[in-house]
Amino acid sequence: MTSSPAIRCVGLSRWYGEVQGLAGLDISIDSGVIGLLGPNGSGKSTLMRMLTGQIRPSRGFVELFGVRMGPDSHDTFRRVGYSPGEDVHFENERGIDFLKLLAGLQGEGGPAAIKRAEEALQKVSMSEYAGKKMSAMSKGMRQRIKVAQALLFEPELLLLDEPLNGMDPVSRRSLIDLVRNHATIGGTVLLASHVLHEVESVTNRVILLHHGRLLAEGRLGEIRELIGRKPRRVRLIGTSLRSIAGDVLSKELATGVSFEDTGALLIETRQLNELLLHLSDIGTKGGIQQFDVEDENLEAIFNLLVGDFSE
Amino acid sequence: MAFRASSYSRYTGVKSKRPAWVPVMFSTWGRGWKSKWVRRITTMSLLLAIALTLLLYALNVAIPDWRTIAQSLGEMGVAGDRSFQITNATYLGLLNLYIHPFLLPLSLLFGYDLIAGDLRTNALEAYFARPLTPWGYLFGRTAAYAGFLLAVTLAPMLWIWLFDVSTGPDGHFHDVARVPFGMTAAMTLVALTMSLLIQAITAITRSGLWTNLVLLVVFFFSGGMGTILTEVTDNPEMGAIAFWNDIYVVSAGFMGVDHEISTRLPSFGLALTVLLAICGGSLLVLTRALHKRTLVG
Amino acid sequence: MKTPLSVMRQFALRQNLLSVKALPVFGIALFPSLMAFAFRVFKDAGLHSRFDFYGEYLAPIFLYLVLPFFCMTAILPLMHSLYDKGAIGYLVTRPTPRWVILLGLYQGALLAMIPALLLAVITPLLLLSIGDTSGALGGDSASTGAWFQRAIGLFGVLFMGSAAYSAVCLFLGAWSKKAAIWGFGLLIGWGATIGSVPGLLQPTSPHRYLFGLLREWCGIKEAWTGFFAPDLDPPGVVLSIVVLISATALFLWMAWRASRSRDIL
Repeated sequence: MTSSPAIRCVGLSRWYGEVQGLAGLDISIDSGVIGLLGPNGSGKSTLMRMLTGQIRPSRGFVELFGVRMGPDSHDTFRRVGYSPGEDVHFENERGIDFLKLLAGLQGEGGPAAIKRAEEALQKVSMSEYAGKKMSAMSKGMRQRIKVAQALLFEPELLLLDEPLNGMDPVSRRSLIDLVRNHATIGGTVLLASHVLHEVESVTNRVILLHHGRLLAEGRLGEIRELIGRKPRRVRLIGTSLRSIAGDVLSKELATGVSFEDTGALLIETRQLNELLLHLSDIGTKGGIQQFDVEDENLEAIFNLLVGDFSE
Repeated sequence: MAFRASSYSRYTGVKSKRPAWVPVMFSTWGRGWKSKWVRRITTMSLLLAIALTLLLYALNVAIPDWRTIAQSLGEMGVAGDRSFQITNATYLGLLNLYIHPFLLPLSLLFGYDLIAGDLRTNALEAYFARPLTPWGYLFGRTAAYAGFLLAVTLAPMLWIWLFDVSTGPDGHFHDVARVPFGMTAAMTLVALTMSLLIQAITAITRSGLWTNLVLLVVFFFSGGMGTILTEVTDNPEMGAIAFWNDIYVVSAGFMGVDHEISTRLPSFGLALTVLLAICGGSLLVLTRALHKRTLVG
Repeated sequence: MKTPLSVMRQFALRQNLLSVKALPVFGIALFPSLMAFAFRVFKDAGLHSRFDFYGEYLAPIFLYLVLPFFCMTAILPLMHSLYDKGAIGYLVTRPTPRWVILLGLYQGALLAMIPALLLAVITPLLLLSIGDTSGALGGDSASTGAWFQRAIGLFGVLFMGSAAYSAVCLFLGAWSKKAAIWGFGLLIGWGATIGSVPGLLQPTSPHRYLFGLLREWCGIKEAWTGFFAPDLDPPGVVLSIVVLISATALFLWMAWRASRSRDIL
């Protein structure tokens, strides 16, 4: 008998009126850490909510461990920990009480619930703030409480929606370690983020969503390779830019050059590494004051993948 | 020395002469108009005005002497002590027909999140970072909300009056000449009071739901309290606690029919004082709430 | 032993009783006391006895105003705080059925209402009954037993009404974003108004059965407010209780259905 994948989406679609939240998503995830990447509004949170049965699909379905998710699939949550993207809105509750409440909903009460809550708080280094009211906590603290509640019962599958938002560097580091450890002991983590380097620091397996569609799925290296085949842009500021433009064109390092209104030079190239080496050689002596490789951020990667380079 | 980016240059182009509160007013209208029920209620109000206009037109065309006949029937006692004349009191009744079904529902649907949303989302900081003063902000919001209430209640009534006097007999205009001024004065005060009150409540509660609940409690409990206290104390002035009573008495006073209304209602002076006190108190609450926000950041 | 139901119940109790949200409910509870105080100050030894005032004046006020607003202010903000910003997502992603969560919230909110209901019933009772020698229309004053029987009956009626209307509010909170407006329409319109106006729709409103209980348990046959139209065929205790419990169960079921079909955004 083959075991069911931790997450399986088949033809998953969702419309909000005339706006499409997700469009025919087909994914299957077994184990390990997977980054769910996408710019704001790409459908990450919609997918997370559909995975947890909070939003009904307009079409298609979601299965967690082979169980189709919906409003009555509560039993599956014995194996799932979910940290939503929204802030914790239990302002009147103390951190420990909030975790006790959620532990209680998992059937554990009294001292056992307190023990669970304390352990979870310890994992996110929040023990000393256990008695603090949510309303008095900083955003970073609330983020850690959110993650703590997902970790309460050491679930097999962790669904984390933008868990690093608002966290300080130390907390980020410890959460990243925590996620990695979870994967090393055989757990599955789906981590949603719109920040590429955040995801990169945890895993190299990603799912890219854009406008509710699955844009790419696989290892980041493969995706980068895919991007490598597309033309890239380098923006130069400095003096003697016209001669540099002529130079790179004559050496066939550029497929095109243009000048911005501000006077900056834009070089379009398919040989990024060679061009960068050449520009380094020219250096400040050649009049280059500053150069930036455009399209390094996530939005640009998406633009590249959808062939939107001309914009 | 001011810190400035090297690329900064002062804007020397043409600046809009439009006051800063105008966009606030338009955005408030836009926000209110998004509500399906606000649109429905507005449509109902217009349909009611059209129906009354058509009724007047039908009567004036089909039975041009209907006013005389109705008056005679009234004088003959056929219809009890009613004389069927269209007077200022008739318009007071019609105005109440507009106030009761439209004022509270519109307040619940349109006004409940006027300032609460901005306070909750810290949008006030963004507003006041523009050349907009707290007073301008308040004026824009108040003008939008009061203007909307007037458009839904007063405008149809003025239309009906205009139609009535233009199709009625010669002397009719003289009978009801005071109506538009009375109605405008009364409804402007009522709309202003409602607008400031609801904004004050929303500034305190910072929640649309709580604003609605508090508004309902204010309306209904003040009504109950006014009625019981009038009965218990045998003093009609106690009825001024009831917001509805004040609106009715002030409308009647401005339209010149206060002598015709019940003796169990408060006097015009007291009712007017209560409405003005609500306006003043609400302004005080709003000024404090907005002033606090301008000090942030 | 703690069960998910008891955990939710405690959460709702905490939210409604130990926070600033309790203040409006207690404020509403003091409204009848204010009226009782005004009666003692202004109208004592007038046409009505204090006992009559407690029954025929205040009891309808309880049913027309206090009860609907009690339920709305106790349940709707609780549901709103959970649904408005998706906080309910933390609760429904636990291995607990949604009906348990809703039932726990309902029970907790209802329990949290009891102190306010007691305050609403007992304070006017004390204000009016202490030193009551005036008697009804100059006759003998009511006995202590009669006072307490009326108070206990009133509490019973209000509790039955709270159970039914809180279930209505729970449904509205789970079903609609504009629960306050629907609550106003249903509790004041359908409940208080239709339930006291003779007609075809009157038997559909829980208020009719609350008035039935008021007659039987408190001996109140008339009401000063004029709304309380004499019912030619007043429902008996058994029918009233059966209808109110059925209405409660129906709206709890509808709340559960609504929670299943409403997306958490």
